[in-house]
Amino acid sequence: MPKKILLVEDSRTEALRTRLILERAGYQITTAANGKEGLIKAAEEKPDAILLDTLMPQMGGFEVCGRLRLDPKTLDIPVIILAAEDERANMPSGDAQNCILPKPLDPTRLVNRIHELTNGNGHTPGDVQAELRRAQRQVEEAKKSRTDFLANMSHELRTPLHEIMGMTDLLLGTELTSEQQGFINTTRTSSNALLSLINDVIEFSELEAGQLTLEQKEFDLAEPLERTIEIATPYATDKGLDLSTNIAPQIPKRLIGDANRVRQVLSNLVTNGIKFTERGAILVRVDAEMQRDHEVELHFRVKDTGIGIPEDRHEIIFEPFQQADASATRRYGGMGMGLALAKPLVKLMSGKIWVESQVGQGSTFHFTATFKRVQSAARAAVAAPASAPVQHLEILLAEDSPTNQLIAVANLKKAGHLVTVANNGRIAVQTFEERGRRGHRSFFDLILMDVAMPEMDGLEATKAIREKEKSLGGHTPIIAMTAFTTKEYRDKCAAAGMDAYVSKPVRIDELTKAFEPFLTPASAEPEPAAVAPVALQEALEIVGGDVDLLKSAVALSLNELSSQFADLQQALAQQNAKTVEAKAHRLKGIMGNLGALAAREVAQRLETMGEQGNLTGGAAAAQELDREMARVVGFFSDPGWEARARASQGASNG
Amino acid sequence: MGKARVLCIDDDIAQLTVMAGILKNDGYEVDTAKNGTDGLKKAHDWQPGLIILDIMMPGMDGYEVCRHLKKDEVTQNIAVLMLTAKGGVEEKVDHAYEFAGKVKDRLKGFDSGAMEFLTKPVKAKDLLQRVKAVLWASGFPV
Repeated sequence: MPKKILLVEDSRTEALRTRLILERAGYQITTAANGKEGLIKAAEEKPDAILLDTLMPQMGGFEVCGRLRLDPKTLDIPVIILAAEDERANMPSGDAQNCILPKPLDPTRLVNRIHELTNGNGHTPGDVQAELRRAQRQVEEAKKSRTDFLANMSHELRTPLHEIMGMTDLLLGTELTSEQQGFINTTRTSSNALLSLINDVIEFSELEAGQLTLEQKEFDLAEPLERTIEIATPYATDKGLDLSTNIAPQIPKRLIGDANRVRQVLSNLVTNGIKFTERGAILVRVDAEMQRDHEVELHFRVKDTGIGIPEDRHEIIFEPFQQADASATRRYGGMGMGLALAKPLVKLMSGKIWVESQVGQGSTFHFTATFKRVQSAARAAVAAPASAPVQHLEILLAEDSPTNQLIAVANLKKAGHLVTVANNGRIAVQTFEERGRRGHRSFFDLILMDVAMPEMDGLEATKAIREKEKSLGGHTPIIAMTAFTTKEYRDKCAAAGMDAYVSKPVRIDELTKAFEPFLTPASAEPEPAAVAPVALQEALEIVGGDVDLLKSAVALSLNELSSQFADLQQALAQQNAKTVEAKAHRLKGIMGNLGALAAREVAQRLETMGEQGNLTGGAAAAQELDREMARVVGFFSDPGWEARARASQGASNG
Repeated sequence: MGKARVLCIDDDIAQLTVMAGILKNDGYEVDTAKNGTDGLKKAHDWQPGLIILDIMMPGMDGYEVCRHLKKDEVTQNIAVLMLTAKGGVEEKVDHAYEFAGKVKDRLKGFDSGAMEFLTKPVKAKDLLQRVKAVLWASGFPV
């Protein structure tokens, strides 16, 4: 019986070629066009060997290989990885090379290798597979250590920068001659530029690690464009270039998406254009590519009259640290981070980025991005004034750096808060406890906690405080101040029991924003809603526009809420993580089906806590969930929603 | 001839109602079951063309139901579409070292015999597309 070979390859020509080679050698071939299909066929057909292409969209060869090893059905099938020369440079050396074959494929080598593997000559498959697994682990570890390195480095770079920026801000608030003011303004501008560069590097590492997510907030499309022009104008004026923007009139004014990311991609493209243009103009144009009921796909163009890019560099310029011409680095400066960042960002916005250009003819950079349309309900909620009353909080500040203490205390006092300073985590815990002993009603309103401190760091201190709260009662919000912005690190803060975080350097406006959720006590009047409790359009999509169906789903769901929530609270009280997970999971499902995104998110957090067996902060999250669910119930108790839903369906059908 | 029969098994009644409603609106013949035991019985007696199965259910979970289905000669060829709320698998595949844990759910699902997955909350459009694809793949005229 002929041996069966599964070939997982995304390129049809490559697949055809390889198939012919193998069929001539007497093998029976099955092909899969991507990793996922490959996994399914591997499990179903149990081939004698699998050939994997390394570079495939979505799931690469190494990952497919890793997954094959996770499945007992496919665990022992020998795998040969096919890699182009330049990819092989990144692979670990040693015996693992034995099951990596270079592309373009040498037919004799391929057939020999398959013969050896399927007949047990040479390496036994087990050996080879163990090697391959080891190789894969090494690749993963290398990737991880790079991400860690970048996270650490960013911390090191940002801490002193934080101090420079903080002192600059304070200095600007004192009496200065206009000359001094000019100096300080320049210092501030340069620090900002440096910070954004550091942020670029961090962001790139986060994007690479898949840790970055997009915000979904309502915004005015003109905003990111204006911001981009504002930032770029000084540079353009310096070079005598014109800058202009044009938004097609049929595009809805307000959209839902991540305005900051749009701005980021645009300003990368615009500054890039300015950099490579000596005379002429930069033109930004936005058109609607496609308008659907709930979504708009926009097409952005950034056109310059610069030096242009040779055709063979049109793709590579979107890779990190690459420019159209190495000598351009010297002439035009820059490390070429901008475009590399733009590509994954655009991908996150479900779009594409590309360039049209000829040497000497200027370039036009294109990208597309998809945004949600604003629904009227969400709109009304946003329009409600969010006037938070001014409150004076009693704050415990745990921070070891004297400079940072000075900055923070000055800023907090200016905002009217009372501040107690602790020099490290140990002292913070002590201070917190002493307050409790002296019988103060509510220890502190809020704790601002630096994460990296000597003696006891912020994570440990938080854990200690949460432990003490178990006997003392209460839940004091703890806000982390950290220069680490990776998701991994944020998760660590959350796991330690921190409620929120602000990134360093801490800006007073950011801090105030972080305080907001803690300003109004839960027992007071409901807060003005920042986001509508229910994304009606989302809910309608789930039921396929059938309003009656949504109505019965609402009735059934709301009926169940209180008993499910009571179970959840009981499980929390009994510290029963498994039940917390199950109940939160159910509530998450219910909220998700109703388009109650905020409530769903809180339930998700609780589910994760349960899953990880760490219920710290669970009570607070349950309170939050209760509030969010109350808003959802409120939303559906108002019969107006049904009319709005029918109206929106009518509009989209007509 | 009408469209195929679809059996939905989920402990969440609202979810069941919604799914059944969507499928009925699209012309399918639908039945529902609120737990695994009930679901297995209906699958055996009614022999649907497709079963939509929630993973996380109290008592018998989706994996177990699926394994039972695959053991019974009468039901072993029925395509199973699993519902998962864990999410994030498809989106995270680029991220090599995070995949192991996330993919486990799905591999476990594939292992127990599921053919496809849907992540909750499921939009009507996605549900109908996936149902159609799975039915087509298992030889139903669509």
